[in-house]
Amino acid sequence: MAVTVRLPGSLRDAVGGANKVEAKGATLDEVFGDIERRHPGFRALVLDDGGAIRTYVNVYIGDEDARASGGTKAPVSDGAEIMVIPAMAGG
Amino acid sequence: MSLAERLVLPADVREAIVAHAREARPNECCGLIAGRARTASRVFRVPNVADDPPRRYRMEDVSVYRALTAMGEALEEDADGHVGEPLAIYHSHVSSAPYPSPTDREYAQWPYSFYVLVSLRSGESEVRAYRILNNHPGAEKSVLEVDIVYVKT
Repeated sequence: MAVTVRLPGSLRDAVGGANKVEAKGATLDEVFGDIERRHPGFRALVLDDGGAIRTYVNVYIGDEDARASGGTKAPVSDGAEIMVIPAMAGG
Repeated sequence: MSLAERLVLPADVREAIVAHAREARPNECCGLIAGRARTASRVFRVPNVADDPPRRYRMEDVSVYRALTAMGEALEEDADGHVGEPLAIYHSHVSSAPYPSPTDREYAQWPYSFYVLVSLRSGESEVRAYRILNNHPGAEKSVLEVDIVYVKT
């Protein structure tokens, strides 16, 4: 399964500056693992120690919030567009 | 001569974010500013879903996703020319200075966008722009003020 992953904001720095990477995987976890193999350190930015999506990161698979469709176990179809969005927050 | 970066802010964009701040008071407002070539063109209001909105903001996730998608379709750019990303991220301070708070710096994750602050602490609105950079890993983020150039619309 080949997918496109958009990485806006600070996340682009983790993959060498591109805001879009191609990756493979049948689930979100596999897709992040594939990016991690090429860009070590990426996974820790988007997943916490327990392997769940970090509180201050949002993931969309197409128009769907990944948290509402299984979190990292969410299925990813061939050609899907995934967007990983650093939260916008402050005080 | 100033060496600061510049953000071009048309008068109607300034009026739109100040109006949003006034409507949201006593809560903080938040949203995104889209544009190109460091010139602002339109505003996306985003609901503030923080637990303590008079003192915090957290943008509603799905509204941010939709705004970024719209910016991608319109080929709008962040401050460094990346398509589909916000030129600026704005929020208001109801009673404090228009300067990034420690919380603002802690949560800042968009080094290629400007951060625009609207303060309502006095009768007059105050608007300032910054970059919040994490250019020293492990250390506190640095804040650089950006010059705002106002143009008539």
